[in-house]
Amino acid sequence: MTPNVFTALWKNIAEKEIKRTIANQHKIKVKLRENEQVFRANTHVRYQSERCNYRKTIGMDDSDKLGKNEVAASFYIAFVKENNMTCYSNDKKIRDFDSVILRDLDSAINHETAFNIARGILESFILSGNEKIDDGYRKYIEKNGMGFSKGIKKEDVLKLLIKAQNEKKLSIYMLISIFLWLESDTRHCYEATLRG
Amino acid sequence: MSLVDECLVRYEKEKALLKKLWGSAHKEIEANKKKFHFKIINVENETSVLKKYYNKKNERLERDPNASNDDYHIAALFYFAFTEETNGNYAFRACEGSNINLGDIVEITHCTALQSVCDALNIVLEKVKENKILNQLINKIHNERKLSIDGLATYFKLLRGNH
Repeated sequence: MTPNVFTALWKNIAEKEIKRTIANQHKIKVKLRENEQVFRANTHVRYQSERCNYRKTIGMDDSDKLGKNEVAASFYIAFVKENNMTCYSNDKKIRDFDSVILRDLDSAINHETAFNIARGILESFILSGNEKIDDGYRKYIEKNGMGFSKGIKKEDVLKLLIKAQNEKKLSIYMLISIFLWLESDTRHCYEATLRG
Repeated sequence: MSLVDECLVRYEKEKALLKKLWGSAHKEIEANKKKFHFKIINVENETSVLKKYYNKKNERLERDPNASNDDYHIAALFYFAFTEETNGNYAFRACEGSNINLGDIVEITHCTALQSVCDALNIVLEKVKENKILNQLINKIHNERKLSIDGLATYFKLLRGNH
């Protein structure tokens, strides 16, 4: 992905999501460790590195493009790698004693934001990509976005991803599987609405 | 509920339980001072106990990021923080000239911690049972140094389930 394409993706999806996350916090405040341009540039470098490693490990030709799930997964890993969104508190007790709650919140915020951005990337690929999709499905995604089927909570998936990252086991393959699963669940939910 | 909200709820719950634990400990501290005719004074206060609590919690999570942090583990960490010896001092100190020895001080400290945990976790103990449990806890934590945070948490869980 060229820096220009990455910047467009960032401007249209990531930047909005980051701003929304920062604006949403009340009790605990969120800020970026780096300024936004540096964060974007560094995320792009990490994204390219993830992408290269992935292509090498599966023996992909240089001319082959990554699929939407692979792009979203590489982006997710690049985004959460350094936990660049960080929480801070004016509460003296939290600041002085309880670094754990801030660390937990850092992970929660970074993973939740990364997931929302990655999902946004998937949606944008589906809505504006070359894939042939029926009009009803397009409208369904525009209206509802992508989501897991009933009984599966996004938060539970994120908790597992955070645990995997804590144990240095977070991998692009794991994320590709999750996004494939998300795509298939969205399709099932759509078909269920058609059946009534 | 978002993951961030979940974290904040967990934090508020922990804060509320700690408040309950300290509230009960404070009540016990005052009761003990009266019981021993003011021949003992308390060394620890809420800030010093909470500081120890968070140090222990942070150290533990550094070692194991996935360590449990349910009510029983919070209570166990509080118990350890409250009963920990710091520079030869316990939560209480005997006043000069009193006949209260270090063994008594250790026992009063553990008794206060156990009572606080029992109050906060709604564990009701008969006096006989309480004495037996106290002896076990003091031996294992203070003398044998064999009880871990997970072990103590399991112990509280069993006590709550058994009463």
